Amino acid sequence: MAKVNDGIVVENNEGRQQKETSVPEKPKGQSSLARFWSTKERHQIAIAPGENVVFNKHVLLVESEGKVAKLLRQIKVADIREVIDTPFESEAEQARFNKFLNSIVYSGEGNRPTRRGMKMLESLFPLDEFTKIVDKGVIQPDVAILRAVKTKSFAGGI
Amino acid sequence: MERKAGEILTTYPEEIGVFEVENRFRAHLWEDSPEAVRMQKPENDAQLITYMNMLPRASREWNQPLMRYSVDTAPDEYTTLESAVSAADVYMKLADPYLVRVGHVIILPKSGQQMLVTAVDDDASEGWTNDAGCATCNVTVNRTKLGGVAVTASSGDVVLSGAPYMGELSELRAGSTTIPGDPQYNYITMAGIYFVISKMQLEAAMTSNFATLPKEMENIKHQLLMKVQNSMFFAQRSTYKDGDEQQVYIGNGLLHQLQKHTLDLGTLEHNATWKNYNDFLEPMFESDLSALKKDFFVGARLFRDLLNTARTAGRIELNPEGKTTYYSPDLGSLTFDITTESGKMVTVHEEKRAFKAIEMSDWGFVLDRNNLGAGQYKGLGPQWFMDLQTNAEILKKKHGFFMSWALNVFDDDTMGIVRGGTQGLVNR
Repeated sequence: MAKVNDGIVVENNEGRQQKETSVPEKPKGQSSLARFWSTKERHQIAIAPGENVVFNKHVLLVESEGKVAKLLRQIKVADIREVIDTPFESEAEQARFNKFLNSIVYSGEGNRPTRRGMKMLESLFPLDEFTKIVDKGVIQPDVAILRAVKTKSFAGGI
Repeated sequence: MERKAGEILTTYPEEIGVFEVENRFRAHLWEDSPEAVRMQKPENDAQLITYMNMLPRASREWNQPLMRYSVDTAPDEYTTLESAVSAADVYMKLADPYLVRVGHVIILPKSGQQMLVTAVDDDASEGWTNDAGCATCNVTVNRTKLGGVAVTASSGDVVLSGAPYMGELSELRAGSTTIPGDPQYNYITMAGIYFVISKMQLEAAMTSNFATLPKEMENIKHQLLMKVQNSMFFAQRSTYKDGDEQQVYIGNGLLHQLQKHTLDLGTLEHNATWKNYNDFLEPMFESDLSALKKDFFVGARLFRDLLNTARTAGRIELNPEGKTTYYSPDLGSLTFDITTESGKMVTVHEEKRAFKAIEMSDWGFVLDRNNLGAGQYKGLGPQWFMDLQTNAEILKKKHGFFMSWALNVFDDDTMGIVRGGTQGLVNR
């Protein structure tokens, strides 16, 4: 695999973090992490000759002001969004966000929720946040969607 | 032929010259008619449809518009620790607790430990906690019975499932099984177009094939195949009810079914290096269900640049004639073979037509023939419907071409999409 650097943290949803560099979640004296989210589970972006960054389970965590974050903001790939920890300001945007999340979660036959959709929804949240949504080992899709609408948004709108 | 003056129409044969400009009796000569020039193109425009018909799971006939499918794989006899474990802990959290049952054995190869499973709480509802901070443990173990060391282990460590040992009077241990992966479904799509031509035109003498019945039938069929091919690549699954037409089903194309591997190369061609390609291709072979060889349908620019890149990197397989590219008679495509760093083969086909637009010519779809299913509604495969004109349309002929199809992706971990990377400088 291509060497992944520039402070990329690969987070999975199984209760652990595999850090491909030693960048901690909130490094002292450094900028915070940006959370990029893709509808593709293992989205790869060529950021330099011989160097791809790879989304792990829909997510790529990079330093907010690092070169990868700047590149991703610049190239504007349609499937990739930067997740922000504040809700959309307008209700119209929240409604569109809600509709968008419903469309990815309830993508099964007869408009039932799918595991794939739930994985995509789950990856909007950091692990510790998502754990709080889990109630007795069960995740209610509607509750998770509502939490996302209340606490998350996409940079650049929806 | 120059008419003599006066009313006398006689002339000498030698005065009838082939170079005479005005001679209404001389036939027009075409070096090659326009449509014949077009038809000389040796490549197959509908490569995806041809490929679909060559699949091991091709030629299926369904009798319902909706197909359900799912992928099952052999269970992995390993999992990982989801939280750390202290040297004294007897509670731990496994990513997949179903791997073990009471009486099974857990092996931590990294630290050389083995443990006997004494209880399993699959949904972590018991509230088991351990010293290392896990509040939702799902397994309890005995760390002394099997001997060996008892030391700390880290979150993420590999956990192997050992043989469920038995004593003289033991009973069998419970086993587990797998359930198929995500339930998936797709729709069969139907589409068709027609043409109308006047009976007078059908009888008209033409100097070429233009506006004749065979030519128009060829055109209509080609047109529909191209449209269907576009939908096979890019359509999004949908269904709606129309008051007159009743229910309409649209099946998912490849773009919306391939949700795992995508490589965006941007618009800077220098990022499309061999290592970029190789790192994208390798993971698609990791699935147990992957074929040993992939077919990579690419636009003209991606074909050119991947060929150059792979040639420079020495990853091109020469054909028996010692050439890099060759004409694939099965698909009707210009083709070359590359091998990844781990020796997996990818056959690259130039699909000019589907990716003809300049902005699309650097797209490519990596397909795995073992993981695609294709077919049609029973009795409604590609076919002509002739003489569709009404009784009143006595001067018209109306013929239509119709087909139904579905192209289903089973394990999408084995396929992917490449976008970008080869735009010229002026197109950035």
